[in-house]
Amino acid sequence: MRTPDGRMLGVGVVALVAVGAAFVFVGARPTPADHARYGAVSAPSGVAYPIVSAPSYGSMRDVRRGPNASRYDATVEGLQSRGGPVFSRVPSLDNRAYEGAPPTVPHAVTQRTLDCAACHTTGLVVAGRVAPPMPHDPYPSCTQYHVPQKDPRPLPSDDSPPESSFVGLGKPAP
Amino acid sequence: MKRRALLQSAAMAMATTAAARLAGGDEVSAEGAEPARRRLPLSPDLVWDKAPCRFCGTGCHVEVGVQKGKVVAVRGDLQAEVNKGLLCVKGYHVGLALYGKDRLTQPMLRKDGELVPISWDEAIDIVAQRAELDGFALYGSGQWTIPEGYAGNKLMKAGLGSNHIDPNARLCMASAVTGFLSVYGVDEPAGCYDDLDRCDVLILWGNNPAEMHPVLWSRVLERKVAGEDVKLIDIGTRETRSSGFCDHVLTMKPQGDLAIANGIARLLLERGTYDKAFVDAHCAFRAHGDKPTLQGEAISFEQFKEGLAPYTPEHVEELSGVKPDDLRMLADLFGRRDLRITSLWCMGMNQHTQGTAINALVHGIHLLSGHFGRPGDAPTSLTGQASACGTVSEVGTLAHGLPGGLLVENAEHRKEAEAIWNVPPGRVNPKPGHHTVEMWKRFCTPKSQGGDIQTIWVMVTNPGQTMPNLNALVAPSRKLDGKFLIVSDVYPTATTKIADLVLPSAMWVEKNGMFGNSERRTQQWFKMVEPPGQARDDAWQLLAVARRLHDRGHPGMKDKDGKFLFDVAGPDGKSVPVWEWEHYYDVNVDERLFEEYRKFTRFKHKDLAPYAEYVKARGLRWPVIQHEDGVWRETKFRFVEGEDRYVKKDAGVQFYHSTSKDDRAQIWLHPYTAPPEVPDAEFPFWLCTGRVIEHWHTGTMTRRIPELWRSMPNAYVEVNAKDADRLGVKNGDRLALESRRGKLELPVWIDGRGAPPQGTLFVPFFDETMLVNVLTLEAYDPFSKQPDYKKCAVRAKKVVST
Ligand code: SF4
Repeated sequence: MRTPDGRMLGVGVVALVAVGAAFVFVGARPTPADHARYGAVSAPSGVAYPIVSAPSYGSMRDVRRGPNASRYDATVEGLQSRGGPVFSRVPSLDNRAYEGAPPTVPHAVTQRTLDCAACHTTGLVVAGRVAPPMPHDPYPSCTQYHVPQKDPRPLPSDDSPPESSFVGLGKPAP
Repeated sequence: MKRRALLQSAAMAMATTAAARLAGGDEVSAEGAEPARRRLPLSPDLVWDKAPCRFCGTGCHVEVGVQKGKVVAVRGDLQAEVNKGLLCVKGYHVGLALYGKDRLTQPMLRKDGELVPISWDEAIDIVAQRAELDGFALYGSGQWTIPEGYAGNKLMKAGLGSNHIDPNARLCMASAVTGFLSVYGVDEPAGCYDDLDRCDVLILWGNNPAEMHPVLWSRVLERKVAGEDVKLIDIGTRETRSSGFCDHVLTMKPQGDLAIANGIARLLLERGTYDKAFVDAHCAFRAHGDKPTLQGEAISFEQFKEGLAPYTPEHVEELSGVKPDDLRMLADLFGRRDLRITSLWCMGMNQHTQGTAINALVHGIHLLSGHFGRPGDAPTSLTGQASACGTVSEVGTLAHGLPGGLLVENAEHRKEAEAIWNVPPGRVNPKPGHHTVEMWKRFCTPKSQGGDIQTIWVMVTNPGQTMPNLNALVAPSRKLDGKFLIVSDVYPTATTKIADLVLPSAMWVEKNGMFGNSERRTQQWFKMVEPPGQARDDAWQLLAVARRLHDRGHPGMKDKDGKFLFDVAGPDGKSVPVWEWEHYYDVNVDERLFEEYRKFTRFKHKDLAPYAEYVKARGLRWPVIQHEDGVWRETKFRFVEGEDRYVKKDAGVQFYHSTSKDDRAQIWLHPYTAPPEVPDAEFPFWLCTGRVIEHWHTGTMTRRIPELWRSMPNAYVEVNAKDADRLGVKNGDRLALESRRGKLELPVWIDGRGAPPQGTLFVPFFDETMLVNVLTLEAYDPFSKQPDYKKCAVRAKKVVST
């Protein structure tokens, strides 16, 4: 997990195939009667306001390389040698449970050896596949938000995925 | 080169913005500082409301999008201080937890071995009949909402006059509580999450927040990535995802934490770098006398120093495996007053047969070095469950507890409780009930042999999967005559499968609720959607049973004035029959229960505000006090003047619940003791159990969320590469693990999610198809009675398929 000199290594390769919305404006209805009764000013007070699906804590910072500087440098070099970033593309709900959900990842995630940012900071075409740019500030621990769609391990499961009757926002009803 | 890199960074940042603009299509904020925003079509029938996340003790707030009576989306709540709009992958998918296809929707009774549907009326009758008999126990949960836990506690202690109520939090944070009690005389952290935004050094003591408290981890990483100088130190028995971000990773032998903490204290004294002024003014020293107690006996500074003498860096290395230089590095940091140090811990220190001791020791080095009380200087325990603090520690749903930190053994406390409950003197039983392990042991023992627990009603938890040594503490009960297991839950679980009576429950936003997170923050939400089928609120179930007992003539269900114990008056002053489901939501029962419970919270300065304040807020941290201007304000840092209103003027720091009654906190001497079971020739491996980010505890909710299931469908055994070589296994091969208590086969994952050192195996406990707790040890801490799931001895053998 660490290089011999103790520096932190990679964080993961995460492809965000669906670029989707970084911010989602959603129309909200008047507050529930219950809130009104307690004199509460609830967030969704009838005004549409921006919803951040993967926001930053503070304001965007220009110095955000910190301990990962070397990795980012390598990424930039890689980008240049591969002909620069690819900007994609039609937002898709394919890999999301609902509009605004973090997309799941259509490839294995090896948090311990590679870094999502390497491909997804500006986007890349890698081996004929599009690695779309992340629509939000880079976060160092991508696997806290994005999980693989497939078994990330050499261990196939004998069970089948659970059945769910959830119908996500923006998704067609079954 | 540096300059070039910087320029490239700037170019990348711009490219990112440009990319986002392209992707999103519109709107970049004036400063150009935020990524682009994209508008979704407005959905006129979509309603959003706030709730805390259902899962972990971090206590993030989500906003829940409801359309046509169903939860359809979730977003991080920008107004919430805990998470500032961010969630982890579990939180983003929390809405899906409601919609697994196999929700329980009907009460079911076991007849001739099969669970068959019965009516709620019959079901409530059966529970009431069992409650009238001797040996009835309630096994609750840190996922009970606060009003549910309060109702359960009142039903048992004020109604049935029994203290046989204990929660799963006994398995989870009981040692943190006894640690706080033995040091400060009152439980729960003095600091809060704000410390994470201010500390210069963060020490993880057997803690993996990248997977277990992800949003807190993000709060810290965000600072690090922004270039702030925060030193992250990981002390643990295996490398985890969190280790990957740390500046120092100190891998220790199991139980080595006791030696490390003592070693740090010894170096601070030897070098004179402890905070003499702080210690002289605010601390005293303690150790166990001949008969160990939670309060211990006073010792002198010299005795304390003498007791630490053996813990030289070299001896600490022998006990813990941590290098002398690393220990000195830790002592150097604690010795510096210009740094702010926060310690975080969770199960590593709590699931420990010396859990109370190690908790006290870590508090001790913070006190000794004066790293206490300033923002960023804090020893802070985290909880795993959404309301372990709120419903267990604060509501006192424990065999020895009463609400508000009161104790059943204390005559004064019983009097206060009886007064608030308006029940006759003597109603509250002075004898503590059975704690969790004891309760289940007795449930698994024939009545004739002292097994005095006949019925357990399990609510909002899954002991059939989480109890240690399942073959001894759960399974035998299923073969004994007269033992009856009742389970209220939302899905079929390892526990409902063996239950005699199953009650379908409403969950999360299918009901009103309140939680209390790890930083003393009390949170409230309203019901947003209907529960499926006949599923009903747990609080309703408790009230309905109480009423049935009342109607059957149980004298305990009436107060001194002959009124029903849970009488709820409507706006017109008339009693509302809330025990009838059709009328349960005629009034806000949560609010009534909470307002009554609130009276208890002033005794130990854990003051809660009126219910209405929580409706407005994204949680408030207690003590919440009404100031002169009428505003209710929370407390971020306890015991500190200017922050905590209960601290006397000019005191600076005041430990006003001091066990020595002189406003001092206790610095404990706790010698190293070996774990109860260590690997030997026969069982040569350490086994550690734990969690993964995808699944919340026993996975009953998260294993029904397709996104999370696909990422992590089943359990595995994490094996060090060298051990795998020796055992002759590759990834995917099966390994048979065996302890003195049980046997289990698991697929091998070499250096899996984490990386165990040689000689250590790790198995997550989320998978009901591979119950690792058939292997674990039920030995527990003498004070907290919390078992140790982190270390026992096993052997491993490759399974050769035939
Ligand atoms: S960190 Fe915990 S509370 Fe926050 S979203 Fe994740 S599971 Fe929920």
